[in-house]
Amino acid sequence: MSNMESMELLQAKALGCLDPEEDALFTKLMKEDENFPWQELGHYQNLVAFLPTLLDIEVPEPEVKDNVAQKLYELGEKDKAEKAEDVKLNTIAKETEIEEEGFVIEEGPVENAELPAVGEDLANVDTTNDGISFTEHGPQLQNLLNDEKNVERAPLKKQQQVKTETAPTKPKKEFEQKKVNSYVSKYPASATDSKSKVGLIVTVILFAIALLAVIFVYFNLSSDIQENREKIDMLERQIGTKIILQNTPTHKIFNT
Amino acid sequence: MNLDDYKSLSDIQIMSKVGEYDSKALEELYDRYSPILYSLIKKIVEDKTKAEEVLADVFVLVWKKKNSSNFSDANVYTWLITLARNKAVDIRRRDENSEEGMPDYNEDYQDYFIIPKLSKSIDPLDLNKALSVKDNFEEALNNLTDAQKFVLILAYYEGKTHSEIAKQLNIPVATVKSKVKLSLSNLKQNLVSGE
Repeated sequence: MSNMESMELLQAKALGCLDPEEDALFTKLMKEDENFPWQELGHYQNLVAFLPTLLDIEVPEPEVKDNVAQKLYELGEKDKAEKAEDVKLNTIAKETEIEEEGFVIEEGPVENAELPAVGEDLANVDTTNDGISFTEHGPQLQNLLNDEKNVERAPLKKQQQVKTETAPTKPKKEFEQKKVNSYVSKYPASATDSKSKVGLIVTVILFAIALLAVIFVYFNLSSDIQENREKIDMLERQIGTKIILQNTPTHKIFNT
Repeated sequence: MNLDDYKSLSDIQIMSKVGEYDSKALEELYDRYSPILYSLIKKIVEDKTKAEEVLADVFVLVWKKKNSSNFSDANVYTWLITLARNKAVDIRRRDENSEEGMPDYNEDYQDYFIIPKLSKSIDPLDLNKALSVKDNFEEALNNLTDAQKFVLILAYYEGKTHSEIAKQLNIPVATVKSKVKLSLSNLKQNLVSGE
């Protein structure tokens, strides 16, 4: 499309009756042509916008205003839900990160936590009685706005619930056990198995050696004890014989 | 700042406050513009309930797109009128075509076909100024031929394109293009000479 052709279609563009192919080419020209007649286009856009001033002006029903407020509320709710989902995912990601770093998670009061902005648009909507609430238009919207106000307070509770679900308080011991397990699980399974087998064999060997040593000592001591007992008996007999001989007359000894 | 204070603000000041998430400003914008936008939408969709629904959608769009439009030229009026017209024409076309053959309505479609792209160089215009030239404009329009007026109505209120008008009137597309060009050029000329 040449610059001349674009000039031919300026009015149609302002009126909004270009065919799709023409519109695509015209839009391309608007972006690329340095000499595009912007002022002419502006004039025709304003001219066309005068057309509705000639209509019989009607005021819409008051309910339409409430409908706008409700749609904005639903929009805010949708944003909130999307952002709450993001917060939930972030919480899980952060929890996982913390666990990997080995810190103990202490659940603090959520109210004090710095929460990300939830439902940015709605959060900034003035929901007071003279705001977008359009409260003069009926109790129905007032109820809606009361709900909205509750929803505005709700995120903290909701966040708390999310936090509780995703980061339950764990006893330190349990967490440390988990930590140990996580470290153990870092080693390959085959390596830990062979290591435990070697340990078992060494333990059995050591146990057998210790048992043999005990048996050896036992028998060694037993034989020494037996030997000493025999010596004691012999000495006792020798002593007894000497006493008898000393107290008995010689002839009696020979006679007996 | 109570609601009455907003009534003294200009359209561009109101729109600026809407951009700062000021819902009272949006309410004032609604109070100010809903009659003309509703009348335009109803003329296009030809159904009261549908028109009310589209009007609500338009103000939701205003809220959603409040920061994506450049109002440096202070032309809130043309932006809002064009937005309402585009949205209503889209609804009408979808009804007529039973959504078959129509592209899906998604963010990209909305940004391209519904959100107005005003000229980088456009004169400031607000509702009061537009209403103040109503009589002159009516006179300028009445000076067009019936054929020229009919083509304008088909294009603007019925959302017909060049080829659709040609088909409906059983005339060549080139003739339609010529009539559209001539009718708006004459309208502009008549308005300037009448002021």
